Amino acid sequence: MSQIFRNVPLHNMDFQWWNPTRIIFGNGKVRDLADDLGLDWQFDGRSRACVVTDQGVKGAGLLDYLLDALKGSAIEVAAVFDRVLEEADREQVYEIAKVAADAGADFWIALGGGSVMDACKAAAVLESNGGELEDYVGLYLVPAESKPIICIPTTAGTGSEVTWGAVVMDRAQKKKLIIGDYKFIPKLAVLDPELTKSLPRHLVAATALDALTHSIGALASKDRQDLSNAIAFRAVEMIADNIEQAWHTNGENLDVRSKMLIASCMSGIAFQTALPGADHGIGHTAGALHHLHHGLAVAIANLYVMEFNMKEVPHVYATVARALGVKDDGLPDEVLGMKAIERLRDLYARVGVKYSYKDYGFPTDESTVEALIEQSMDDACMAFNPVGISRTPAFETLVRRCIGI
Amino acid sequence: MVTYYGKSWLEACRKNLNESAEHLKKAAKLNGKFMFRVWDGPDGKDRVAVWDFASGKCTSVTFEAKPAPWKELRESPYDDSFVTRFSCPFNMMARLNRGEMSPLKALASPEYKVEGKKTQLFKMMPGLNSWNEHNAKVACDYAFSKTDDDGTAV
Repeated sequence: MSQIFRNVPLHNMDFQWWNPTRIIFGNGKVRDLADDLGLDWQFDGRSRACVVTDQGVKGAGLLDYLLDALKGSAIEVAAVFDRVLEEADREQVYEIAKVAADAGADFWIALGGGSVMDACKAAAVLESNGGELEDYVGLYLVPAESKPIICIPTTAGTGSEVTWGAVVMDRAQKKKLIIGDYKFIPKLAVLDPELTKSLPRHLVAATALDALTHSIGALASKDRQDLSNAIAFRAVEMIADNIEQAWHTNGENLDVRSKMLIASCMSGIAFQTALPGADHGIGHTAGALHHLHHGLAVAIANLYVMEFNMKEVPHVYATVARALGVKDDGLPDEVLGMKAIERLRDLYARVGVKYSYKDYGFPTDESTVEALIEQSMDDACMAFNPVGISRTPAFETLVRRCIGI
Repeated sequence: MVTYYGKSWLEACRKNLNESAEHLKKAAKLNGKFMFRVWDGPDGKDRVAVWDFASGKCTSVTFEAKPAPWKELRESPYDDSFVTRFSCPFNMMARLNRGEMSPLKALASPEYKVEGKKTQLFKMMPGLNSWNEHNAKVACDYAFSKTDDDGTAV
């Protein structure tokens, strides 16, 4: 018996599937990177890398791991930018683009989590096109293809290593700038689970729940289709089966970390063709208004967005319930869908994640609430929510529930 | 002043687009027919306009209006000779044109419907943005209550 959307009419009659990123997976794959690049036509004639990373990655010894791997090879590290913030901002993007241009780099290596990879992608856009970052905010507005990008994720969450999106903070405007275009999609993703071994426990939880939310969002997306459904469903299963162990074993269990890394990549593949909806719309905005980890922001929102969307897509959330291991028992879709939310709450609790923004210090004053309601409606993801979003009492209630008021 | 989403406004927009070197450059990949169905004008009419583009140049634009609800128009299925069919209330279209509402907010709203070849539409985004920006520059009247067959205020 199929677990995914049995006997429902085809939802999407107009879609494209474009996943051009070559993915290599395996323990120690970073050590083989130079040899691998020598065999990859996408990098023919390119030898000067700009490496983008952050202090956490550097401190964990992962930058040295990469630099050692490239030492003595045909690849020259022309520049290293190792100061990407936990949430990269537009000023940093300009700085990174300049560092790469000054060094004459001809390709990029992003080593880190979502913030590092997105900052690198945005810098690549700016470096190849000039102008202002805001010129490219939106979908398909990047004129020229960027120099090739290699992404090496050190977290298992964002999926940015295979996506055509980049999100960076505009601190002055307190909003996130979202750029979407295939002209900077990474050419190569290196999934080396060794690199995720040192990921601290709180980031294991936040990034894994980010990936889980990506897949649930892709399954419910207005743009969902069966290619992404299949991948997202399996990713939900893998994350549900492994998240607790990944959180408990502190990097010792490489099998579990490997599965989480693959699942987060699968979630990235799924959501880049079936964008998530209000969970990301609200989550992006909450993260911009208050310092809140992206993974937590979207995962918390998802609990309430699923209830908000339940009447429209109960069969989707019933599918999510099955993937989360809820017993079907012939229950109606809506009942199963509610059980999926219960199961998620249980999962969150087991990895130390709370259920509201307020629990993470998000302000509850009316002006912040108002800003979250209004600004989140302007997020690009909202258009992909299965239930249309406008300023209704139901939507206001949804936002208030995310905050916890 | 021309009346918003009437025949004269559409013609003024067409002229403005075709005379703009900036638009023709940005919209070089804007091709095909686009239908706009605009519900419940202040004159009590539903409107339909079909814009036809070739390499950014607007080769024709047609207009028709009938008392709302124009049942046949509202119930007509999407025809795939159009790249896309957009449908939304007049007030929302006017707010978009005046810059009072962001396109993203409209796209998320249940009142704004986009049907058709979205994958093509996305790839024409720079041209679509330019088209909207140029239309917004055409001075027009939004407050009217009675119009003739061409959608011009009387």
